[in-house]
Amino acid sequence: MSEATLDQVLSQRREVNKDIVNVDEPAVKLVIFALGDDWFAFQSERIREILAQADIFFVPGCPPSLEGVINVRGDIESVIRPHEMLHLPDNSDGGRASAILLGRGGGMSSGIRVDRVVDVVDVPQSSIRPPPSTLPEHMRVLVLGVLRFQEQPVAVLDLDKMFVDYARGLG
Amino acid sequence: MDLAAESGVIHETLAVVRFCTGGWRVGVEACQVRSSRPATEESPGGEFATVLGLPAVAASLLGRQYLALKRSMRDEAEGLVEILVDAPVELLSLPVATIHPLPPLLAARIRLHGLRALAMQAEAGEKALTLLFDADTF
Repeated sequence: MSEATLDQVLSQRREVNKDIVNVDEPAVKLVIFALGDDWFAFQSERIREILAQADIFFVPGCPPSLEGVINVRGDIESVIRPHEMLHLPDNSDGGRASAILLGRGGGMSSGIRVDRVVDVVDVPQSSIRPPPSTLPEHMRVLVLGVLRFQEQPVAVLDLDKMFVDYARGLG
Repeated sequence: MDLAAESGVIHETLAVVRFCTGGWRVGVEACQVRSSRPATEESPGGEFATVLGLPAVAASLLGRQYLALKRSMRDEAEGLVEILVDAPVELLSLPVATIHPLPPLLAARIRLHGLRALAMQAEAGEKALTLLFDADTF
């Protein structure tokens, strides 16, 4: 077996590196969560915080989709339940897996009650497809795109639109 | 015009008359309350919970109070209104730091008349919420 020279080794390494293609592409960080059996996501730049536990203070005169308010380090935030906006049954009992996403959109901020946070992940931008035409009308206006994650379809929601529509009385 | 801001004065507390109505802890700025008196059968004032749009809770008048509220935005005839509230009725100085504007989505969707702010205070080791109303807007 012949001994390689340094030149040969470096040349060999360069050849190997030739095959490495830079596959970096724009990525999007998503907070993926479950509402019942359906999975949704928000762009993480819209989510300030994920709260596992928070004491909810009920406020009278609110619609059922507005769960109440929470105290987040001295600030008061509302907590909404998005199920009705998305035409989903609201069977959650606020169990141990449920969480509140503190979101900011449409110039407003609020907590959003979700049944479970699935993951916070970076996904290639190209993996997010436009909303399919088969999506129901009420969803089409709120969905920015769809992707598959862990073999599940995930709808990426437009938080700006959700908050603006909610303030207008939707849901 | 915000006179406090104009004059550079920083207020640390807000004088509030706090009471209960419909099972809720409620407050009104003390400057909007002219007087209080024990409720009697003859008193004409309305149940505060009903004025706000909350379901009225049937209760005897025993231990309840009438508050006379001044409403500066109304003319002389409509300026004074009596409301029936539940005890305890107390005058408090709420620290400004405990008073919060309504969160925007709540402000957009709430059906209570005149709710202006929320106060969150620690009492007996627990956080308690007080609904702060403006007598001029209900």
